[in-house]
Amino acid sequence: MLDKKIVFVKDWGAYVRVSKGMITCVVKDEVKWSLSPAEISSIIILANSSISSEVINLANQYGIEIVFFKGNEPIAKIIPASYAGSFKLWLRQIRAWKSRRVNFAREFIYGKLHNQWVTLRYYEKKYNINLNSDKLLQLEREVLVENTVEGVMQKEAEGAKWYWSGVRQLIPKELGFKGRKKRGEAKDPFNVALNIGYGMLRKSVWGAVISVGLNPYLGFLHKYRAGRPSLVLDLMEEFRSPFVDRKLIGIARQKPEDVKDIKVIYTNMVFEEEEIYTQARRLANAILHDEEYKPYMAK
Amino acid sequence: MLYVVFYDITDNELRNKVADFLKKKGMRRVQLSVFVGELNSSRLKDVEAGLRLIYRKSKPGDRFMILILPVTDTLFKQRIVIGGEYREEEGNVIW
Repeated sequence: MLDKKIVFVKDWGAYVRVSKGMITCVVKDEVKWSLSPAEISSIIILANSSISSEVINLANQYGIEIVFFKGNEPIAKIIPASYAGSFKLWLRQIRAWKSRRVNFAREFIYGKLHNQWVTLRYYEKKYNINLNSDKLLQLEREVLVENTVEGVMQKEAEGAKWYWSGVRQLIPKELGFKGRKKRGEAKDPFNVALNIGYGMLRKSVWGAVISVGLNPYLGFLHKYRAGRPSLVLDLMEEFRSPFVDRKLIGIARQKPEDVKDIKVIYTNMVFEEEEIYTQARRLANAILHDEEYKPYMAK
Repeated sequence: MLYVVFYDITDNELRNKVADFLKKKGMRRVQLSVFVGELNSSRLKDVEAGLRLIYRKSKPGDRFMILILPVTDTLFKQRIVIGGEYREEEGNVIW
């Protein structure tokens, strides 16, 4: 009951401002919501809108996260000027990137394959069907002996093939899900919903990576490229299936028409952030103390 | 620490002032005249000071009583609710 609230600004032309100490969202003179800064954890801006600098000030005081989305993708996040990361950790991260890249890459994909297996296995048991989950289990073992990042990525790609063909069998035919499509190519509602889910997951992982002081741009599995938060993409891998796919498969099977409702999708994609933060802390510790990294294993 | 604020105020205007003030400080309404919220010591002082200011405006003879009760999370979880809790806003996601 006392959890803080996540608010979405989704109306075109909305104006988010401070009025009598409350953060207020106004659309064409109509107050959409008005909340005390103390009870907000995040403000997520989905549509073209205006936000007053006073809101930024208050958000900074109360530690409210402000994230801007464009087309299901988080594109910007407000980071306080006092944030500087931990320089020691950044240096360690560069050192780890030079000496232990493949170790981290392997663990991320090991976790990912395991969690994909858990998702398919759940439905296999529940309905006594075969979705080839054993292929994922096999790949999960194989990836542990890979000693190049390319090799690890190959196992991931192979796993994706089996995984999505399994998921396809679980999605009601009327949704027309033929397989996982990349961003931009996705036209069917289930793919669009996945993109929203991954967008929200990316927002959460991004916040966690920054708050533990890691450099989000230097990843182990994903290559570095200017402006790409490679480490965020790395850490996301282990959460995609248990946090996003599983929920969406559930919604699709229970009420297929809900998959087309972006309100339902967005509001369902609010995660147990504690798990994500714990994982980011584990990653930072592994880098800092030269320890083994253990991925998030779904149950 | 969680704090429960109970009030009993006869003057309508002051009562609304108190409710608005508590809302502004991030407390949540659980009954018409009961609010609950997580406060640290500086925010508690702030809430207390604000309520005292409103109290000064009350007229003699009017009933104006406010009780601020600290309660631990564990104890609060053991609360017994009969007939449902008052809620102004459902859920923690606002769309």
